[in-house]
Amino acid sequence: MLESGPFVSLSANAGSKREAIRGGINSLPEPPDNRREDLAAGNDPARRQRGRSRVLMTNEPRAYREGIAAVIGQLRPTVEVETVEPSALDYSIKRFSPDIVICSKATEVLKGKVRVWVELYPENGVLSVASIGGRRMEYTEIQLPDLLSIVGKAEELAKAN
Amino acid sequence: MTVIDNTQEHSTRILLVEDHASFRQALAFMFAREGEFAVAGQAGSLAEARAFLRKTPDAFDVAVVDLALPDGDGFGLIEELSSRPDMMTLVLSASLEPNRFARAVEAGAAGVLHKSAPIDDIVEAVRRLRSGEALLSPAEVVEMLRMVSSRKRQEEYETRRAIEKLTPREKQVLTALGEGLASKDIAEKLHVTVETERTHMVNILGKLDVHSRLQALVFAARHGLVEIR
Repeated sequence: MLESGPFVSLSANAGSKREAIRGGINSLPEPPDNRREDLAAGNDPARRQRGRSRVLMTNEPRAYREGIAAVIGQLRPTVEVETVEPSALDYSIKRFSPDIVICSKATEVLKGKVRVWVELYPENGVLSVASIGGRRMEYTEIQLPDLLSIVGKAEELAKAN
Repeated sequence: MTVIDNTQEHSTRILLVEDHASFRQALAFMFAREGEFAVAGQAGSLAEARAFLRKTPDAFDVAVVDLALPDGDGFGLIEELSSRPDMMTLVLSASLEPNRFARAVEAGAAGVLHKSAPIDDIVEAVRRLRSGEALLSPAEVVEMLRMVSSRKRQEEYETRRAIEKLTPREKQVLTALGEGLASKDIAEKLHVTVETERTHMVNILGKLDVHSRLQALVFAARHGLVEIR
């Protein structure tokens, strides 16, 4: 028996309509069985190709960072995912030139240089904030499909550039 | 609450209790891609977890439980899960307080991991628990229980000190409170003004480190200062 996951309400400061998004593991494609991939997609040289969008993850704690990175890496093979410690955020932005950053706390460097970013559970709270091309969105209960959707938007913006 | 019926025969059935949904879902994904596991349910709160347990009490083998949930800490849930035969609990926590880990072990957790651990360690921990391995060595368990015992002794000491600070008059005020009397009635019974009664109460709250008359009453009842009939 399958039941849907909890609704997520999100609000945009731009004043757009409220959206209720049904998330949960049911909305994700089934993972391949018994395959283990490197968490940092960049370990595979074939993936470091021009034109691929880049996801930089520096959120804490580590289990969150690695778990979500693994999902993104597996379900979005068109992106390159790199995970670093939070203290390396600003340096990694300059080095990696990410199209999207998922962090615990957005820095001024991040806000000035990256068009799409997500502050995921800052201060270990429940509220998350995303900025997509300057448009701010707040999530009271961000779901994994929301993050994948934001990654998709970052890819679109990157291609448009 | 999410109930998923994709359990496979002989798979380790997992219940995930974690309020950070994106992490919980990522964890479910990590388990699901290993053929030996099946995520039997996900809950974002104690209430959801308990509802799941009521509905499908025999549906899982291992619970992975976050200690910090929106409707309370997970210790009570861990105790409930530990009372079920053949069920094991792995606790995850973002807290750095060793006492919380110790309390989780005391409540019956088979293992505790900090969320700063690699994600693969969490999956591996469940695998080891199912294969009968202990995640904590006997020495680690003893140390954690010693920490709990030490914490309890410290709490008892602080309680005794708080009670010793109360004056005889303040104890009389507490006794009257235990009789169900309101401020005005207490003042009348003790032949003092209402202002004086309130001053006594403020002092009592400060000495007992509580924030309300009700909490003071609970403290007094719990530690034998008043008898509730």
